[in-house]
Amino acid sequence: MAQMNTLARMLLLVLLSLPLWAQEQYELRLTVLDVADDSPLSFVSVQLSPGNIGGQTDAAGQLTLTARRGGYLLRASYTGYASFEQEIVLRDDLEATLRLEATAAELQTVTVTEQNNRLALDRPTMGVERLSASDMESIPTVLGERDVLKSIQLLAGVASAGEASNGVSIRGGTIDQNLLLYDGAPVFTPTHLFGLFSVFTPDAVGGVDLYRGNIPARYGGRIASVLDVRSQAPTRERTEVRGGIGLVSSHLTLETPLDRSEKVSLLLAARGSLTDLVFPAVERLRNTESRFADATLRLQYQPGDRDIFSLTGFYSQDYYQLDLLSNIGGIPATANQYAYLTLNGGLEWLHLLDDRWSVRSSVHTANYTPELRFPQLDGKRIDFQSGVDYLIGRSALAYTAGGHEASLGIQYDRYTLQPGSLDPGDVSGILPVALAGETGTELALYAEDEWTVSDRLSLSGGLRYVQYQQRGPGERRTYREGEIITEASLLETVTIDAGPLVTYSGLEPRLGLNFKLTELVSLKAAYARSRQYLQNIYNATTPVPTSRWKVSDANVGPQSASLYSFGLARQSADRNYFFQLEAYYRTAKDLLEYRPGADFFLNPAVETDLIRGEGRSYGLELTARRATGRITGEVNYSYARAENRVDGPTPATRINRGAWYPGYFDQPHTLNTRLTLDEGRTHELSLNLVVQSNRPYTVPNGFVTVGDVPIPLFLERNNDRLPTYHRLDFSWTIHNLRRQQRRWTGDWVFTVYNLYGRDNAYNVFFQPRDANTPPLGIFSGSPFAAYRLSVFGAPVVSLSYKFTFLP
Amino acid sequence: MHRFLSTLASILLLVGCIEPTAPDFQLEGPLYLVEGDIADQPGLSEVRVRRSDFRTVALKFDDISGATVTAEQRAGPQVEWTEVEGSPGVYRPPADFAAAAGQTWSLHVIFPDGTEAVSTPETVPPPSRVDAVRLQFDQEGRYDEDRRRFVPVFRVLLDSADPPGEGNYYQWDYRYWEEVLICLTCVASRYRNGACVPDNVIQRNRETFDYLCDVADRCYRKTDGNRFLFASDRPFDGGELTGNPIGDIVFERFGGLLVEGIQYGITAGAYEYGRVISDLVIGSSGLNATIPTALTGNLRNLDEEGEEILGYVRAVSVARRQLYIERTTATGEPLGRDRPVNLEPIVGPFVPPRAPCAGNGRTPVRPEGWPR
Repeated sequence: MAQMNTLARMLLLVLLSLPLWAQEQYELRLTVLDVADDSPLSFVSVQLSPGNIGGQTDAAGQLTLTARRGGYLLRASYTGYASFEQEIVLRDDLEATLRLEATAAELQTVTVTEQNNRLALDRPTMGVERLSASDMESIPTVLGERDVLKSIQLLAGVASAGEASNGVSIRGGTIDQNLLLYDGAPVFTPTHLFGLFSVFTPDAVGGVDLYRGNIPARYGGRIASVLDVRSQAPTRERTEVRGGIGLVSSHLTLETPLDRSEKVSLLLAARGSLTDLVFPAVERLRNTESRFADATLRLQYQPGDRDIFSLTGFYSQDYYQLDLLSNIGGIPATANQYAYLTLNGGLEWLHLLDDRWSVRSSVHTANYTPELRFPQLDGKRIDFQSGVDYLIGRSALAYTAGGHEASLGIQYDRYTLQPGSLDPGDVSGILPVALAGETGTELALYAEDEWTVSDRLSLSGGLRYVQYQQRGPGERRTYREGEIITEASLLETVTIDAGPLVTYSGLEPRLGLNFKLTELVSLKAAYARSRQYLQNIYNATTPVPTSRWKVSDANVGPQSASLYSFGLARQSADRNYFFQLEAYYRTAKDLLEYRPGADFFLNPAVETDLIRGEGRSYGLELTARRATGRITGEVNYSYARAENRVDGPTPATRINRGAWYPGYFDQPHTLNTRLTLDEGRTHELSLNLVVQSNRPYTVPNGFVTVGDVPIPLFLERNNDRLPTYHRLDFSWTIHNLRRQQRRWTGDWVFTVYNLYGRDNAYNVFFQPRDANTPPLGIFSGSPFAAYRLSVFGAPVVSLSYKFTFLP
Repeated sequence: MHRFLSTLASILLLVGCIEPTAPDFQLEGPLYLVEGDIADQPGLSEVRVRRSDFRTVALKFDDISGATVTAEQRAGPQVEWTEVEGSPGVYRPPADFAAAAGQTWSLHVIFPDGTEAVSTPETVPPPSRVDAVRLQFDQEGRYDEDRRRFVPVFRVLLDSADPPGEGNYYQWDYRYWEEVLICLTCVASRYRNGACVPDNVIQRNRETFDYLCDVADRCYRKTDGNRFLFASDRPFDGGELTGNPIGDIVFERFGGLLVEGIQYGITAGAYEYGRVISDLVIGSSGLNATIPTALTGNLRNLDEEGEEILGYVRAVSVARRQLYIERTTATGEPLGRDRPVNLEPIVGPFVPPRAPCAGNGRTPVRPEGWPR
């Protein structure tokens, strides 16, 4: 109650002080160029709305607009050229270069040259990275697909378990400790083909913000990071069709206005895989099936200068089959079949009250349904399905003036989990099983303000208060106090039809400071506290799509973390180069670990297989970036450590005998380098170099035999490390080769992933030696053979074609 | 699941690979290992007592003879187990010993150096039923990584029933017997005086000789499935499992084939232990390998400060069913040998020796269930 009173007083203080802040004007200096030859375009009409601030470029293609701090829609149009439109936020003087293309061969690109650097130099934010669609376009990826998760892995502090990782690790955290949002709705499985590609429809992605430091108070629910992916706002002035044909998948995008007054516009993008066509050509894969697809919809309605309505939708589906005879959890099957489906939706309304005040309200839903299918010999099928239904309502009042950028918001999340239901269909002997559902709600109130105190000092303060409840219908299991939670210590199970079963609440402060030592050097510090009430449980390095989600309950409490950051940012005098150093230290409580033999399949009481631990991670991240000119690039180096400790009372509830041990993403050294040469007209060449300490893994301390089969004996965890990972990638984009101004233009994208064919180890595993084990002489006297699994052990060459068509 | 992921990585993308590598170890000192079952049927209870010797490159276990092994029933009798003659380190109870369902047993072991270990008491699960073992032939049933082709297999299917009640746990396994004619193969060597002796002449040619079995009648070879298939009855409590695939047998040659499907009823503790084994053997090879975990068994050193003792002594109920078939041309086409049989030639009066029908599962004793 005392906490609530404090919160209320703080919110009141923020509200009362808002009108006192002065209004401040900023300059937006624009240069508009012809993309074909970088010649300046004069008489281009540029408009900022709201406010009807506008003008035309001069003979040098330049124009300076003055506007108050705030969010605007920037539009540029010129007869014969494709118009340009993008939402911008004016917090400081801003320079931007717009490259327009003749409508017959258009490719709208914008380079907000200063944006990312200013973010780091002037604002009290830390650990924030922003990638635009064009940034991602130039990053070489596997098989030529533009890929959000692969792109952010080039940033400092971002790692993965390897090429086939179902997500990323931020600063040593586990994959489920990241909140992944796509147009505001959470995404629970962000990859296709078990981690090889991101699910975000390539042509629809407009931008990505990664918060890995002091996460703004408007975000919550995960303890490591927030990855906020947004789809593009559709153009309102013409119809455009884009597409691409690749080795693995093809995609098609339609952007079009839907009415003559250009108030309603549509973006519809879809991608489908072609892997099913490839498999029959390979003997081993003739019984294999694999399909994936995704689609993004964005419908935007702008009835006037003060309102923007957006309706968004996202669909992602995967299906795989391999004809392995199998038995999962005692259920027989003639093959493995996996299917998982994501259906997300959202409706957002941005209303600008005046030049300073705005309200943004939204409703989002996310529905995730992974499924395991067990085909039987007689053609019948058993289905196992689980799922997450997620509903979010948000509303925030924002104020921008007088050196303040403040917002006050409320958010309500409700998630209902179906941990698992087994439908035997017509198969006799197998029982229908439905585990009790779990429901959690989070009611969050937050206030945040970014305050430019002076030319040198800016501060950010945020406070998020969350009340979490596990709500009925659900089960509450009570175990004997003081005893380890096992089936044997279960006292009673009570079914609650409605109302709260358990409540957790707490404040999550987020603080930041930026002090400019000189015009070009700034000092930064930040603190963030966060809690995670929804957790993914998986007894592996990374989760799989069918991994079970779990709400916090009386036996499995939320995880929490505190992050302390300190940094230094510097820009070169000519503003071409930017350097940044960030150091951090994070402590985490109630991390999830697993008892030996943990089994979550149809398990009604997973807490009996869970053990809790603590974590600590610390590191240093260095960034050097050149974002302007023909040659641009970035060098990121990270020193990062992540350690866990689980010290339970029995051997089965202890790990590494209760000592600190390396976390699953403890990768001390990472060097990521990206270099792009943009010839300016037709050719763009790009190189990535990644060198990093590989993941820890566990080597045996001996072996035992069960029957006559040798079993590796592990007495400690993560006691060794996989060999160093390194890789060089190359991409070459040829844009509109003939350079003709036609309605149809095409780009060829040639990529080589892993250029020199480094055989990076993804996993090392042990198999008992038997008569079929080849006598290679390297296994020595070991009773088992060791094998190294690598996903891309050779260069992966791809050529894809992308086109733009203007009907 | 994990095998599926592994296959996806290595095959679907056609650029991944699995390469052999030298195994690394961080070896611990010597440890006692006790593994065995207290079964509900006569002749099936057995425990093996060993001590690790990881000092040399050749990691091995030494069988421990001279241990005192006693099965202790809660509030009941104690049964002395004796070492099996000719099988050092293997201890069995009297031939007629059978634990009954519902009885709670533990095993007490005194090692020759005085170390004492006791297993956590386990209650013998209720008996279950195996209704049938069936074989389903598929000419291209499985892709063989070593042979790089689909191979013909018999799928071993088990029909079984689960008694209704709370929390039954199972392990499924199988074994099979085939008649064999060749009992030894010597690569670049000849069989003399009970061993393959290198021969300079044939070493140059890398010739391989096969040797017939030295039996008056027939020689049989038993092969264990060693499938670590464990399940709880959550999805089929009180039901009947039909056509449960518990393994496969490659169709290598024509002739008789005797298959036995086995269903062990085990305790919750043994199930957890079994799942760890299963994860370590089956689940470690994929893209999403299970995290290696300590194999914490149910043995404990009576001296709390003493060394850790590994292993698990289970109380089990056992249900078995056999099936005999003749594999003929009507069955399908067998895989065949990688090379033709090459017997060492008879030279004048010299007749090549025959190899004993022993070792590697071979026995001249007709297995129970094999037709006369």
